[in-house]
Amino acid sequence: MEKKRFNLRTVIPLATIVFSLIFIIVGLKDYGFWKGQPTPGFFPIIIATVLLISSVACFFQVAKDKDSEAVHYNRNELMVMLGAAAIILCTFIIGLVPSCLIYIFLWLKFVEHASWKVIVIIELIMAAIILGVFTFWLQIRFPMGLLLDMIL
Amino acid sequence: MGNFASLLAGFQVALAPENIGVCLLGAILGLVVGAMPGIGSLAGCALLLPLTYKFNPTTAIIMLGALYYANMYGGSFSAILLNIPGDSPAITTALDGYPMARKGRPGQALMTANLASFIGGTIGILILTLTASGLATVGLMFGYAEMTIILLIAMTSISWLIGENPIKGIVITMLGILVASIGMDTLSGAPRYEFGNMYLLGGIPFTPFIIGCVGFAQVIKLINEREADEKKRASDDSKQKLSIKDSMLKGHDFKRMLPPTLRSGVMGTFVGVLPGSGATTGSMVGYAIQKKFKSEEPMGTGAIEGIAASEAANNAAAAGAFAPLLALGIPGSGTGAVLLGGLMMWGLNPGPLLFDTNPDFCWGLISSMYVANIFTLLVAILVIPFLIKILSVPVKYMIPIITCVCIVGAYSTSNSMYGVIVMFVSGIVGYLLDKNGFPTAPMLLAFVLAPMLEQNMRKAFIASQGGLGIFVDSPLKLVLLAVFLVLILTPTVKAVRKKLGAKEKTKV
Repeated sequence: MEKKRFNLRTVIPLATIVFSLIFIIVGLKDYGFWKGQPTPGFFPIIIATVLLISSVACFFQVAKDKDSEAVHYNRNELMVMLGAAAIILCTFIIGLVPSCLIYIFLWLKFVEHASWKVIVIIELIMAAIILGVFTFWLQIRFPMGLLLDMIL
Repeated sequence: MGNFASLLAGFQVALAPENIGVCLLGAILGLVVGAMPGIGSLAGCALLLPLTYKFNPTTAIIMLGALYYANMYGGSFSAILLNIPGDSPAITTALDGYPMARKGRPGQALMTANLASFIGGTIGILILTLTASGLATVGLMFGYAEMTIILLIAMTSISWLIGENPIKGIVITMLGILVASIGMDTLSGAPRYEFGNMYLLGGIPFTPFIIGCVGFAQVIKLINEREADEKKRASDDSKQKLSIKDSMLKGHDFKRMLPPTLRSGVMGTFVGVLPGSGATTGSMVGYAIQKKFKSEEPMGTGAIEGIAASEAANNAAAAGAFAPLLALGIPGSGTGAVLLGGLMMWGLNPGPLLFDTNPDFCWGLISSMYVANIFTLLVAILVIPFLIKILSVPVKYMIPIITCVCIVGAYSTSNSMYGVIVMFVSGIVGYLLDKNGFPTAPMLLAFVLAPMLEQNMRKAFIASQGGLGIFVDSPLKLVLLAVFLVLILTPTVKAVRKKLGAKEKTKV
């Protein structure tokens, strides 16, 4: 017997169906629809209902569609996401600016195998942008992280 | 006459030293961002939005306007020299630009693109000068019901025009509206859909959301272009030498480019004014129309007429898109939505009253577009000898740089890691949506317009005490409603006919 494969393209319409149901249920329960005039739930409930109907239609359309190519995800795309997630996590420990600069170094050295010259140039440009434009000009105080907060 | 007097007053604002400086900076950044394959005007404006926080609203929008505008010029550089369009409006430029470069005339191809962009842009700005305040006067006649229908038209038309699938267009538009409704109710200020989270109480912050959906999602996609980019760079095309002297057009070339430039300039402006169309549609329509006219060489084989038609139309459309943005508060494209979000963030309320309440701002911006057009042309010509160097920055080095700019930019606009997390999550969502064929531009437009739509719709229902008659009680409303219905029904009917046609074919 042929095994039916799960169509990855149906994930998005399924997610929007869940999303719209949450908005309809929470809206009706907590914010109402009409009390002599439109209540805070009025507009989101209408929109969520349209989203629900269109998502169901989209789900069947995508599920029936045999012609379009399957969606392929690759490891490199995940690496970009993990890189950004690592910066966010490291920000809480060593601060945002050092996290960004370390990330650039690690990415260029170990993912792109860039030369030292390229790494130094890019690090200097990025340090100038972050510190010069954001810290000194726009006066943004970036988070220092637990370590730097303890030291300084 | 009144418009030109206001325009002269606007030049006093545009020619202030600070505004000239940011205009030039915007032009240079726009050219560089536009030339870099894969970034585009939408991501460029979103990434540079945090840099404008220090400025007053007029200076800030002048910089972003110049950047958006210069982007249209920059997109053609990599399209002509590398056959990689820097931005989607430059796709049609590559069709003739790259073959012309291969014929040994890369400089003339670039010069044609620059001059056509300049002339097309000037036509667009002139039409904007003449019509924008008039459009605002018409806008003053609109009540809540009319505005509701117009906003619905704007939202649906972009969904139809960008994607091929109307159902996906509706899904993505509704998703954008729902995301915007998180936080506080626009009329009563009551908390809504915050799920007990104090961060969500303030809503989804606009700039980090845009930076994520456009900028970070773009970086995730960019990583797949590394190898193709390396191969292109290894070819002989990227090792040409260019000089301004060798790039000059001969009289005959200029005669060939002028008629399509003028034609596309006028047509592109009107395409740009339409909600949802923008520069990409402008350049495609411009190129398609040019195919109907005679050209010395066949189109697609390096015809000057093709480059001129495409570039004039996209620059004119970029200028034309400012008319509904300023006069009605309705952006025509994703980039327009970023600019509108910026205006709201700086405390301005774009719409029919803007020309009355903030004339300095409106006319200063329009005047600055003339200045930006001249600056961009000069920079675009002067940069020709260095273009090969600028374009030689490999995509693989841009990935960590743009990732960090997204994170730093998202933090700086919200002063909190919450902004960075919103950027990160919306980036992944934007990437997944795009990968599955859901265009993100309609979601951004819906996100920006949602509060306005909700306010107008609810006020209309309050005024009518729940009756639907308020949407059909005047000829203007009926016309608008008919336009809305045509927009909804046309793609649906087309899809059904296509399906029936396919079924009949299989039967035969």
